[in-house]
Amino acid sequence: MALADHLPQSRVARARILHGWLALALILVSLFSLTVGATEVSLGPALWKLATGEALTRMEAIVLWDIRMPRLILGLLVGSALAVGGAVMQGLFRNPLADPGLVGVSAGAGLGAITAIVLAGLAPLWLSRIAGDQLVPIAAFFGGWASTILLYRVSTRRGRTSVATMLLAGIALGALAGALSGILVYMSDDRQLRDLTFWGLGSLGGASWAKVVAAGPIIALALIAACTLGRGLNGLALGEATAAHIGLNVQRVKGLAILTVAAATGAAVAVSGAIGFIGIVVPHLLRLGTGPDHRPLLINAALLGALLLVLADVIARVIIAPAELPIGIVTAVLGAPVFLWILLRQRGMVDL
Amino acid sequence: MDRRDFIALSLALAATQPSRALAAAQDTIAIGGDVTEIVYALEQQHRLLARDATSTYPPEAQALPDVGYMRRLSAEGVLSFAPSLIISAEGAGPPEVIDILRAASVDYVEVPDGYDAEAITAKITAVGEALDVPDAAQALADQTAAALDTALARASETNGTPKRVMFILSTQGGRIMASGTGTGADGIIGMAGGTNAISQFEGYKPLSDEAASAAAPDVILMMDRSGDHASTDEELFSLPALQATPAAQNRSVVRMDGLFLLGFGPRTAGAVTALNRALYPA
Amino acid sequence: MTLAVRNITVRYGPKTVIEDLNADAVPGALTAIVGPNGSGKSTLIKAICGDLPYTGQITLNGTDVATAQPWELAGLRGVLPQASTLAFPFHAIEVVRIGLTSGPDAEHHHRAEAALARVGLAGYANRYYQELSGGEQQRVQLARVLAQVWSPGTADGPRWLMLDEPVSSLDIAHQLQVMTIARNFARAGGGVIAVMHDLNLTALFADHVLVMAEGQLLASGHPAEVMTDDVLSRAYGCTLRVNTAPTDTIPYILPHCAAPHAAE
Repeated sequence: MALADHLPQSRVARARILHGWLALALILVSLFSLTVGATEVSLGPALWKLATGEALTRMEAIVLWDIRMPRLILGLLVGSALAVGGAVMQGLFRNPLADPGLVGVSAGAGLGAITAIVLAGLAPLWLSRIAGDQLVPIAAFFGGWASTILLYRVSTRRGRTSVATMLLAGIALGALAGALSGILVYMSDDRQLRDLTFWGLGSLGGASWAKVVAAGPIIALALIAACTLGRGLNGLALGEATAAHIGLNVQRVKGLAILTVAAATGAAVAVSGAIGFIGIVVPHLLRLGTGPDHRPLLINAALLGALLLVLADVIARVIIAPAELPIGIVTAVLGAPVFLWILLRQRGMVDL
Repeated sequence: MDRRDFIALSLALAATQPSRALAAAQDTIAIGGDVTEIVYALEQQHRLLARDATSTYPPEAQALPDVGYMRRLSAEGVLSFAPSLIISAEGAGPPEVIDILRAASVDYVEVPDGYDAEAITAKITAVGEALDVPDAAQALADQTAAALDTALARASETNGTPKRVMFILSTQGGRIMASGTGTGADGIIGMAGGTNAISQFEGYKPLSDEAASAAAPDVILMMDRSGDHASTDEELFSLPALQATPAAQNRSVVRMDGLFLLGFGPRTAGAVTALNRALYPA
Repeated sequence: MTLAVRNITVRYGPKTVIEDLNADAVPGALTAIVGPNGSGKSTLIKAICGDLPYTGQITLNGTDVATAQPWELAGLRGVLPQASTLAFPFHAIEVVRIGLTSGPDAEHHHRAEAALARVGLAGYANRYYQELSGGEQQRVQLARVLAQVWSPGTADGPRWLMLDEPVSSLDIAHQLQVMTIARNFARAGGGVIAVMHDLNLTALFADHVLVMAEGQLLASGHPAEVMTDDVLSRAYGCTLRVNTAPTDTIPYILPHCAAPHAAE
């Protein structure tokens, strides 16, 4: 009787227990990522040296501190941002196949980045002096943000957002951003074109402390905001009207969700380019395992997204060392089959 | 160039090398096909630890470990060879990785890019200085410049109006990506006595069908390669963009190795002569 | 402590759906809204729930619906919509618990279980919502609404159930079950507003009937007073006879005898 009493709670309870396991696995994978690489530098001996007061070699210091550490932190940030951005977007659109790429946030961020690369020479001197190397990431973030706001304006009437209009407007916006990007690509010179190609593929190869500093606070804010959205997104799953009936301020939930998605996706795309499939595969796997309740789901998505991206980055770094694969290729190779499987499995389940 | 001078220089070159060569250890990574070529031309290849993916000439270079595409380097991958010197062509990246390499107290020498005779001399000089073989570099530079002068003089002797040449980078999906001005292709076409059929824009850009027709190239120049960029003459001249051009009527297409044609290194004199002969067959 | 609808006008674009309507409903009674398709009955309950912009004033227990915060209204009334969709693979019990907005998890758990039991779905807690039949889904939604306004009467005043065609997808036994739950809620001191399509069930369960036609209130009162040949024929635009058996031999089935308490 007591056991039966608690059965209905089991999925949420299991999801809560999963927080701990995922956090533990994340720590292990993080340590692993600091340990392996193209050089023979390893975390263990370096820590031993630190413990015994011995000085690290310059190679150890640079590899661990300037290469692997910022890369790990950027991987954690970007992975959690992509997964949480995807989960929030899916909750907002009440569609398990929705993705930030779908509503033009990624395309807008891309347009921002391309604009910065191509027009950097034309930017006012004071702007390039302030922004410096961060001009491209900052422009990408503003591109994603601006397109989200535009999208919101287009699809909101009398304080109510129509999901269908937003979805269609997002597709149109994505096409528009793609077309404008195309014009800029045509205007670009050979060298800029190479930068664009590099940026478009998605990679953590350019990880640096500067990028961690640029993206970290934005992503952290987005993650904190996402953690307050769990109940609201659960309500939205019942429809906007019912969400209001059970006492939610629907417009506020949607507004915060949109901002969260823009911040998480914009910042992630800005520092690492377009990395696919994390945003759609991670929330889906978690819903399969521990149910769709967003309160534990969003936390687990952050943990599992970070875990998978760091793992994918380790693969990208070591599989063809001393060269490396763009991480977007690794996530696509691993994620695309899972995505197809989701589509096959859900053909009857997805209704919008 | 006088033939005796040439031999003398070559001998001088050979004489200066062994002492320095023995002195220096294997400590260098070369990034960029032209850079690697120059390292080999200076006979400093024993210094090389690794090279990048674009370094395919001479064929022996391909036996060296490959650190990947020059614009997508991995900081740790490069550092895993513990190099003390990196000689890189302009434009290696990503920039964050280059910053780390510079910070890792590695001598990082960036060789300037360029598409004319002076640029080649500057490249050789820069590589020679980086490898601490300035005399050999001077000799190679002089020799290369002289050979290039000869080739250029021969190329300029061509009679009649210069042929209009269109360099096509790729024809993926029927879209022609052609070279405008300010590129290696533009440089080598001019050196070989041709005229670039496209002068309206800079760099490589997709060309509309009408613009391609209006450019009216006499000859199509392409890189000789396989894979998705390759296209047969049949496919090439069946493109609507090219059907109306003189090149299509004469089925005139020249294919040359990309690094040889566009490398702007020690072999460029040969490339000028080869392209000139291909454009103006006797 | 009543529902008061004063001079309500609702427009969809240029079309006026409800014009200058006044109506009242009291707790302790089941108030049914009937009328033909397009008469504005669903629009009226949506306005009462605060889903639509309107001119005029609607107050629930003295609270102005137009200006109240969502959470204030959620404490006063639960709403069962005509049709519900659900995006993610929630279990039935999880759907019910989404309706619970305050209090500790354990309390939610027990109340959600009890609510499911009340709609006859005690064993369905861990079934996927999407795998239930349409009628079962509708009852899960009712359980969610019941869990939200669990006690019909509180010290602060009565609570309200707003039901938009609550029985349209149910078989006759479950229609009776749901209507009995609604009436019991009213008997316990709560208020119930139900948009009804079925005039027999209305006659059987309603304490008060609002008859609507063309965006106006045609009649209002006890079923016996307003459900007359004249009113219904005018409202629905066809000849209707109350309490008259068909003259030929076609069988006709009424739920009346299946609901033993209907006569009281």
